[in-house]
Amino acid sequence: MSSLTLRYYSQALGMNTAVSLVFPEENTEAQMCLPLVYLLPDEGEDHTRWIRETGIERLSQKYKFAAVMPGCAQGCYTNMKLGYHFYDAWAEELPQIVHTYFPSISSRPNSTYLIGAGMGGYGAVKTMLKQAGKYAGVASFSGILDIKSYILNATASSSLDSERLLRVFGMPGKSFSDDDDLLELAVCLPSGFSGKFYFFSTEQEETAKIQNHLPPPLSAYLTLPGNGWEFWDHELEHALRLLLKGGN
Amino acid sequence: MAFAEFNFYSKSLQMDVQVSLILPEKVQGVGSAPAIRYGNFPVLYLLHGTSGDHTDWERWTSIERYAAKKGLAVVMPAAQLSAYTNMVHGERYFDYIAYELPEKISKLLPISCCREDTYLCGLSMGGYGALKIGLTLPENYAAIGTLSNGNHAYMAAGKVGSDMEKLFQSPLGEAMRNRFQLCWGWTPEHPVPVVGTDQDIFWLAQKNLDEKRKLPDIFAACGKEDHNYSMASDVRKYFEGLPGNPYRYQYQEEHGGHTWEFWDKWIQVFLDWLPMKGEESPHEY
Repeated sequence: MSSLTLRYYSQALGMNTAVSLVFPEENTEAQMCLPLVYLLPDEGEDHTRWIRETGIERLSQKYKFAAVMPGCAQGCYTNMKLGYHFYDAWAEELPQIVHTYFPSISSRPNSTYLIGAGMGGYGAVKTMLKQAGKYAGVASFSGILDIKSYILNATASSSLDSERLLRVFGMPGKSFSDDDDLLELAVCLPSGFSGKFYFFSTEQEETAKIQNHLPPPLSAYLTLPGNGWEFWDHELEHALRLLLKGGN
Repeated sequence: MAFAEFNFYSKSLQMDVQVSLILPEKVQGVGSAPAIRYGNFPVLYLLHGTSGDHTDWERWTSIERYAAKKGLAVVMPAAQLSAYTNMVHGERYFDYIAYELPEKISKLLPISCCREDTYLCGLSMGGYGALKIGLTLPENYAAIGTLSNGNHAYMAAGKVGSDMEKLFQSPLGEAMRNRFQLCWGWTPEHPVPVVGTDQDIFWLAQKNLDEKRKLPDIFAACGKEDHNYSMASDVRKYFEGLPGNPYRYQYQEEHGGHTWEFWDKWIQVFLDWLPMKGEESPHEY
């Protein structure tokens, strides 16, 4: 096993940023095509979080994949209305950086996966929907799937988050882009789409809002007993088995 | 340049290791020009001296800025006090840095595999290490740099100038003395032969000539006030004494000590001297 923290200049952000990677120990077989799993942390969390909170390095060895873990900061994997282009940095630029510097990692869509927790779940599902055909599957842990309601709830209660969320997304009904709404994106999914969606959540009814727009064989709801890293870590291996092995 | 800390378990050392990496970027932040060559990078393995580790070059020099101009990837491992040997009482650092690390790096990163794009340099103990590794595997490196180098096999044998005594009295002295025992099993009571073995750079250099192997170019520099000056001068005399200068050996010296001010300057001279393809970036932003 090996791990690496890469600090690079992000042209999309216009500033330096960091990403963590984990590789399985090489074996004698051809290593030039490691499956790739992107892992996205929750709001405000950085590139170290999946390594610190979960057994990702051990799982990378067990299931033989490379893990690539960017930070979320406060960008919500979105090109902010007032701020930085976090979506471009994450979804467009980072894959190019990964494939330029690490030739052993597969660039084939059918061996590229997304996992995200909390706001990372939002980012992962959004990327899967927007970049149809580039990823084979996504697992969302406690993902924020109805972002418009999330923003409206935050603004209604004048929570501390609301000002930041408005800077990221704009106000629903005003500057908010449908392009950032998973429910809208799910409706527009091209026919013939074959990627898999696994929603790990405590909220079945909430999850059904997006599942109703996805062809049934493509998505599954899985119960989480609670939210937070304790539960996400516990279910990580399950998610990896579903994505990489197609099993249960 | 992109900067990375790489962590993995070394089979040679049977322990976790850290390696610092510098990688050229297509577009860089304010103040530096983009790499002239992107992908399939030429690579410099850069070795620290006694007391150092994988962070030394990055912390004490501006190597990142110098390498950026050249589009050069830089790999900086750590070797404790091993003198880059397979230690008699310790770990197999020679195997780690000469064999395992380059193999690992070439699998991980888009590094050129050509000998013409592969360089090795070090300071002090790392200067000895660079010569020893480069002369043991002359087919792997196009060029070797050795700054303020020790000549550790001769140091162990006591065959260097008396200025070493002063060093042994210094705060670093005990570690230095202890190292000969750890590396080679050498003690004053049991002075095992190190000169005339594969730990002896003159022996290695001569062997390559005898076997008519492909020879790397060698660049050396040392400060005139450096405590390694007499050792660096011995090495200079040896290489300058070889008929026809088969290693295209080049030596430079000026006033200076065993200090990062000296190495920060001379690593730049070394990089300019490297027989690299292509040209430097024309401008900065």
